Amino acid sequence: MSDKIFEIRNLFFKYPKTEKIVLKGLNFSVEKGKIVGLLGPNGAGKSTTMKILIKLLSGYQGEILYKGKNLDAYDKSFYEEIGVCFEAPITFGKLTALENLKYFAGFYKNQTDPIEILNQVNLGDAINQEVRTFSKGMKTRLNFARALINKPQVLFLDEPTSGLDPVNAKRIKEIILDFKKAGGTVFITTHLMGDVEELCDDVIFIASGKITEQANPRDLKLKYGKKEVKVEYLEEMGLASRTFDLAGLGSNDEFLDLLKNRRIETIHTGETSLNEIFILVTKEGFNE
Amino acid sequence: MRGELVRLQKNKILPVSIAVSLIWVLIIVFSSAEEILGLLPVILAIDAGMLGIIYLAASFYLEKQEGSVKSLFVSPLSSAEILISKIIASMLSSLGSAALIVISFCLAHDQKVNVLFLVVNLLIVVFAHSVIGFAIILNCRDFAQMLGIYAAYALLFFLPSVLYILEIIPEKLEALLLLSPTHSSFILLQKPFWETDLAFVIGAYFYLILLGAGLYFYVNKKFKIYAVQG
Repeated sequence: MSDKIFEIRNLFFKYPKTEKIVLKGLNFSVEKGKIVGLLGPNGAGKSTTMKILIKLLSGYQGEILYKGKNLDAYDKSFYEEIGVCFEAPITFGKLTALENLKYFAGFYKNQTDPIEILNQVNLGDAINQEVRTFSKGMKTRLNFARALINKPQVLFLDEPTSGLDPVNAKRIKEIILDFKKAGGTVFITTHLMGDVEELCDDVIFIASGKITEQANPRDLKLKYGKKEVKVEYLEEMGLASRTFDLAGLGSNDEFLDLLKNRRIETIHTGETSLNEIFILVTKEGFNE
Repeated sequence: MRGELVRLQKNKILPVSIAVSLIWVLIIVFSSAEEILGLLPVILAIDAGMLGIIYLAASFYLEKQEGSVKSLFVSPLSSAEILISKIIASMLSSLGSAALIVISFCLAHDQKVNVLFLVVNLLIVVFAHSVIGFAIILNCRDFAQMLGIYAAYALLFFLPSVLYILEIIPEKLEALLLLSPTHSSFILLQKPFWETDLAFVIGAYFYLILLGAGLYFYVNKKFKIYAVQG
């Protein structure tokens, strides 16, 4: 049996009463137990893709298989298996954090202890506080907690660390990685490339409704990175630097001479950041 | 269902609805039985039908604004279940208000009513008006626009009934007024208090039930798309 949890084939979509085609033939698959980042500029089609996968939007063309079966064939029981964390708050402002989670938990067969989840996302001290008094970061964490309330197998996370301080962002990322370790599959859309590097096994760049690049972050860095090493060292006149090709570096006399005879300050490979790759591979989207 | 009622309470929709009912109660208590008997169906139709639409819209737009309604659509609930729970909550709230009004009328003026007719007819009136409310909501961007369209709706359908009561519209045209959901509601809500023309009552039943059912299918089709957008 295939370990692919989602298979998307030739996915096209346009919103009713509009002419613009938002998704133009997406093809990708997602393996069980992987964290996949859907990346791209604003309006590229990431959120639309996500909304189609969570069955909030219908009327697409193409084929989507979930666990080998057409997504359209699933009824509301599909939602027993997935958890969704929207970027914008989605909880009831006049209810407390605990009341919110208890309310949503009531819809599911599988439930996690709401207090336990609230403690996990560092909201243990605010369980009886009305959500309307929460900061943006607290609401984001409550959204995340709501996504976990039904012990899902697949998580869809839209900017899950947006507006969080480093401590709480780290906590959320730890939970996501633990979820993956337990066999869960995760879709993430984010503009924080640091999060992508820390979390994602694979990334899919979307620009203007098309996939422009798809690989794991390491392969992308190798593909788009400069194969060179930059060395900074001290001379009589002060700090100097030189760049060497990675090819044949071990037998490059000038490089070896620098290492032996100069005081080296820093050595860096010409690795390209995901931010630079993002700009490079989605350029087409920005220009359109 | 319980959650819907809790939220109506927390969002102050229920307390406001009860406060409005208490104003009606004061009017009922301090009026004569003859005066109020003629007005009671109108009061009930305004409270359960017309004001019910405003309460429904206020609650729905608040939930849409805070995104909580979107979250319901990624739960194992069908669109129809979400919609029906909101309609039933609205019906229960309206029944509560109506009970307050009718009980105060019976106690203050030592009157009797046909409770079965009252409950059944109120449920039909509130159901029809709830789906009319949703049909208006789903065609408006926000609460402000909804209020504008609702004002036009009220003028179009409430005013002819007022003109009829004031005998400006002649009695022979009453059959035409059945096309107004407001007037059909008046007719159904007269029934528990005094004898009314059976043909009109049957016409009002058919019209409100058919209108409610037809609009329910329309609303159910559009509800999810509208609720999750934005």
